Amino acid sequence: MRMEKNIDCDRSVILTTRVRYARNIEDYPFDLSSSQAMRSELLEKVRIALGNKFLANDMSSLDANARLALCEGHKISPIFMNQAIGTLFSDEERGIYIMVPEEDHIRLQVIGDGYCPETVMERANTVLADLSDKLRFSFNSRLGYLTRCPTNLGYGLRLSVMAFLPGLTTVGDIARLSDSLGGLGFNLRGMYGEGTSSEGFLYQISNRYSLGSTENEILLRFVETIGRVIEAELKARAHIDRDLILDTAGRAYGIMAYAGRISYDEFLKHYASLRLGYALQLSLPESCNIHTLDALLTYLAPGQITCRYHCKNAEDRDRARADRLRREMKGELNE
Amino acid sequence: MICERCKHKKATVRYTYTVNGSTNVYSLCEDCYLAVSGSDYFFSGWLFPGSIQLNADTNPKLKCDLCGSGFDDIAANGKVGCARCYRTFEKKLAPMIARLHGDNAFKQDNCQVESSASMRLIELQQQMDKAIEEENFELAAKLRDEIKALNQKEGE
Repeated sequence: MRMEKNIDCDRSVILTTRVRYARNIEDYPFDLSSSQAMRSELLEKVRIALGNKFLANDMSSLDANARLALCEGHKISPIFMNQAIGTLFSDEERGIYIMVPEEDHIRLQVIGDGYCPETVMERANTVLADLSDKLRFSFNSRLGYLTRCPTNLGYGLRLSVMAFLPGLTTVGDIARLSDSLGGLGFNLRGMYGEGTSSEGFLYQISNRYSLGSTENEILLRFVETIGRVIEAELKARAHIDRDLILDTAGRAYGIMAYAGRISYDEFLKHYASLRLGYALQLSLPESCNIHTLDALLTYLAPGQITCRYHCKNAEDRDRARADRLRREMKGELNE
Repeated sequence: MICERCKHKKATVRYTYTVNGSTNVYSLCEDCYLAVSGSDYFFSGWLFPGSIQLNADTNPKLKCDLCGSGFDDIAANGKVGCARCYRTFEKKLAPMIARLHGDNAFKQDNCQVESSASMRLIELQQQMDKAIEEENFELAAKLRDEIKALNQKEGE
């Protein structure tokens, strides 16, 4: 079985690993959007249960761009961003984010860099243990943890990875991969999850159900399946024309290092070409690498750029993005 | 008057139930009323072991007594109103859940990280459900008391 080994190979395919748990507290309706009083009461209970280990951020105090920036960093879900109410408890260092309330009362998620399913599960379970010490979760002996959407019954557990699959995309195997993952109880989706498109060869793969298996079985099946996806992707990359990629990656670098304005869509296109170039270990400038590119994926997203550089419009953003990108590509920044 | 179901708390609710043309009235405490109303399975299990077939959740007007959702609301958006809905609309939700999860049931790891108190509660709840299913009401009542005691202890 493939566990967290082959770190470099895995890192060239898997950008991040994420786990999320859905939990509800007994005696409250799942949907708290219409009752401010119940929301505050529940929030207080969670706050007490979590202790002072987390930074609390009230969503209603953030403007639309700040919320978008959090969503782009996958720290909050699109649902949580749009509902604009609720509190986000976060521990940036350990990548732990707790949304209260989201679709369920508590959505806990832990994000880790690269391929690290065991690490994120362990961290999440530590927080869950703290919460279940003080809170009574809605639970049924047959259905497990009760959730607003019956899909999440069982452990309310979703493990996912953000995968870079240029090999399988180029070979034309994505539809087949999606079908076979579907048969194994996994979803293959665009980079921001349900209903989003796949840009820059980026896909999210996650388990669909968590009822009928233990958490450990879910983890093992996930590790085994993702291991196979990684192997299939690396195999497919062997069929890629390296000469052609050296050309497109080099051009991508040129544009990113010298453009005066660049939209996020254009950046994504060049990101994909250049990342593939580095993944294939082609001879490209050493001032950049896969890690830098992946960090830029979030850093240069529209909401993030707007918040950091106080941009007023798309043109401002494209200029600020290109400026940052230029300096990153030339290795002028050490962030 | 003492609640006819738990035989412990003061009865504050008169619960009328008509089945096969005969009407029965029960005096229940608030907790027992909440537990039995809207949940035919639970009701038949506790008060009339095996004697009646209730069909409360086939009633289209049935609403969940905690969140007020009807089954139509749940069917319309695929989202369940609250934890109690799973019991209130148990029969109607069953095919929906089966479509998603087959006949899978919750399965636990031996080494699961949960607090001992809540795990004990979960275990007791599961044992109680099983006892009800097997119509072992003496054991179920014992387990219910244990759950209640543990809950009180947690609340302190």
